[in-house]
Amino acid sequence: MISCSQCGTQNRDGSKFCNNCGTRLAPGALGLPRQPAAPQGVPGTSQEASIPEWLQSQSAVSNNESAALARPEENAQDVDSSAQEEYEMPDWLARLRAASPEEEPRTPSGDSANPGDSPNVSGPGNVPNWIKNLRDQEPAEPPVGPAAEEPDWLRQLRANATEQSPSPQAQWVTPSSPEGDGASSEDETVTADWLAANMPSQEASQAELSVPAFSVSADSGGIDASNLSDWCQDAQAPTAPSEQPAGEQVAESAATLEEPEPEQTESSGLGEPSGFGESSGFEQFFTEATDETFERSAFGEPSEVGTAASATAEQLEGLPTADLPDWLRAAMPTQGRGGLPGTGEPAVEQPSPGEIPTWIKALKPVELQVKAGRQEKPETSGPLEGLRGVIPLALAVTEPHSPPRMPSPNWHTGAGPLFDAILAEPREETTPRSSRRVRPVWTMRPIIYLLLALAVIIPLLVPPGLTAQVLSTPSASEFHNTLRAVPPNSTVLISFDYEPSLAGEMDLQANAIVRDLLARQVKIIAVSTIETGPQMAQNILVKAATGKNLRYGSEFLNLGFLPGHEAGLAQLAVELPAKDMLNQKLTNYPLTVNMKNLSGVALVVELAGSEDALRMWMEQVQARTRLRIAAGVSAAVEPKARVYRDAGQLVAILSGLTGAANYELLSNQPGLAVTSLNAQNAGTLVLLFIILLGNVMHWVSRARVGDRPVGTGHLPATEGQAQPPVETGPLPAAKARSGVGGREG
Amino acid sequence: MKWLATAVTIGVGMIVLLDFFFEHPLLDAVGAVFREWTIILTGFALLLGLFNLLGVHLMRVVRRNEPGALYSAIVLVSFAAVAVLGMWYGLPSAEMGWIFDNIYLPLQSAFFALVAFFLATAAYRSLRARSIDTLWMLIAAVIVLLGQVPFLRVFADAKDWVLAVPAEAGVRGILIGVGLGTIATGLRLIVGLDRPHST
Repeated sequence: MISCSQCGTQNRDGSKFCNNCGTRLAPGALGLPRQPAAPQGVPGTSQEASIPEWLQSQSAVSNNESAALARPEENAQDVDSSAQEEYEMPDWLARLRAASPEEEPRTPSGDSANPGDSPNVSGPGNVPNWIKNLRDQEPAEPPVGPAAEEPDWLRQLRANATEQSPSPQAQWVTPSSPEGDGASSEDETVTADWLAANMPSQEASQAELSVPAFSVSADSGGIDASNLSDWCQDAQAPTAPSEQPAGEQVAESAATLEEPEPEQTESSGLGEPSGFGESSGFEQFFTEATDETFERSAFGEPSEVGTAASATAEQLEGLPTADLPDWLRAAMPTQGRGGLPGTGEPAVEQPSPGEIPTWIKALKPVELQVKAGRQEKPETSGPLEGLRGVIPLALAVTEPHSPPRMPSPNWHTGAGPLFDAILAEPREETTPRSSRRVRPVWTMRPIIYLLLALAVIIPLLVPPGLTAQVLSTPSASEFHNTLRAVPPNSTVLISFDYEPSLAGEMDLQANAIVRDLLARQVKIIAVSTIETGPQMAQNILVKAATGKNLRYGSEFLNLGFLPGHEAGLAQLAVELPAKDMLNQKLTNYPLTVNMKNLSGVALVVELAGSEDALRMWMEQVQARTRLRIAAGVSAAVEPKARVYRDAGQLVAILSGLTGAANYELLSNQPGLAVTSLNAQNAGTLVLLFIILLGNVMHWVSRARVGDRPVGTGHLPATEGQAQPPVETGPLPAAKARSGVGGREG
Repeated sequence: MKWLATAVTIGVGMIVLLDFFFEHPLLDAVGAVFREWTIILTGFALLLGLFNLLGVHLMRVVRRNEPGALYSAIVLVSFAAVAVLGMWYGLPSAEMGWIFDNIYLPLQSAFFALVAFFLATAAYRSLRARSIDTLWMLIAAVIVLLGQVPFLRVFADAKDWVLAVPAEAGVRGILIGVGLGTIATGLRLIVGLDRPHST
């Protein structure tokens, strides 16, 4: 329950206003400290009897002065402070009030245990119940005399305090005064907005002003010097020399404590000043503290002291300088401080009443100073006339204007008329693409194709006996002699390792070899490392055996495809496959019934259409078995076959169609190879002619380009047409030399 | 398990290499087994290539809008026909022989015969004496071509000299280089420096 300080009505906890009189009970979070008058748990200190007499006397004086302030409006802040103290009443005090709820309030006697409460009580009916309870319990408490508890130093301190005039202390302790309020209200008219925003509310200011009164009263009542804060000890240090006795130092310290703190200074500025400005130690401390506070305010740090100091200084600017106390004038910066009349102090830049001093301007926030530094041009026309800071773009948009004329460059001076002339020309009728005659491009390719085709076809139509001229080669003779050395009824292994695409060349060799071997009763076993080889071998064997009473399995045999490439050939060198092309076991044929490997083979004929097949036979079979291998190869493989021949790995080679024709002639069985050789010779002659023609065309073209000056253009410009860009540099000459760009072929 | 693949590679390589140089019944038997395994794996490689070819052409036919879808369809139909006939009649049958002799062999021979025309055109445009190097190449080509023709014997001898000396020297160098590279690669695999199977 909360008791109203005005009417004494008990209100519920948490109530902000009295239900009876409407007096504010809880002014809100003002940051008021808890009343340090009576700590909890200390017997006797919570009673009125524990308050010293000097403090009671000061309270009486304060009550008298407060009673003189009859207007409740002026004491509104004090009421709020009392209500705040009531709101933060300690538990021990609440228990005391709860102990005697039935007692009626009595007429206040004017003395109060709490000096903060007593000044605000103006009438007898405004005394709260809990104060009355305290009074009622006073006789029950054991009397505690000040002389019995107070030490000597405290009595001396009190004596010194009594010797000093208590009235000024009471005046600055008094939280508010009519003069102060008047000055504050007066300053509001000259204070800038930004400064007013930084100023605390009136309640907060008054609450802060009321804090020092309690502190001073408590400190005066019995706070030890050791409990003082560091700043307070530093402030009293100059006034307490070490040569003095301890008792005197404590006394001076206590006297110094009675001097106002920075917060107390602010509050005292609103009241009547007294002679506190004579203390040099306090002045030094206050100057340092004030400067520090100003710096913190300039950097925007939140500080109640700084905010209060700013507000107080701003309020003081509107007051006559003579009304300021000495300590406050000493704390003010020299630049903005005027000389005090009567003190002989020279006046320094006495500000005018409506002018804000520079040291207060320094408190202005930085961002506002930046904004103020901009000299915005006021609007002189339009609906925004007289306003500053208007976006400049609006001026260019709203008012009529024309874009500036740019000087036209020279490069397109004649482009406009030319473009108009092109548009003015009559449009030509477009012809369909299909009806256009495409200019034929002269190339040699059809002529080459035609010449080659005629050279190959015509010799095939002529009987071979008329034009057959076969150039005998030593290699063919050697190959023929090698096969002739194979005795009859021996076995020759022929590997058909060429693709059907090479059948026109390799089949002629195979036919000549197979026919010759079968004619001499040499048995043939065919095999192939290419998937299409077995079928080609079968065709040749069957064709050669037809009409000669040769049986499959007795005179010839086809082992079929040998997979595995190198691995298959390596395995073949060790042992023969188990089955033939017809998927029959080799043991079922008389030719291979006793043959386990290639040891029974007299000769191996490798018909290789590619160099890989020949290499595999050389590496996997010839190197393992040391068999005699003769190779019939295509003309393209002849250079590599010659290497193996010269190395002795091949006993003989037969190359290309020429070798096949030679073999036919050597074996006295001319056939298709001899006929095809005439076509090949004709084709070779035509090819030589084409190569010669190509070189002639090249040299003629080069002679033409050489006669023409390089870099003068390709085509002469016709009259009335724009000349194409001249291609200069080494590129045209290089193109001419290389023949690139001309589709001559 | 990477070390297992490397160990298998080194072990098999060493056994096959020893089987090549030494005659021993055990090495021959083990080497023969490894070669048969290789042949089987090669057959599976052919099967894998067949499936890949069919997959590529089948996807091209399914998408339809891709160029060459018609040719892919022809490939698939041809494959199906030959496969059915081959499995039905057997590979060495007369039907399969007819397909090979009348379709496959002429097509491949005709396709290869076109190379003669392209070679003639290329010889016309490329075999030109633009520099000293191309001049030497042109001279060698003319000599070899004239050596094929049985009219002038002197060119035949010149052709044999070109093939026996300059050309064979170059080819021999290439073959020696290939052989050395093969030996180096085989040694690195056997020693374990190259481990393509275990990466």
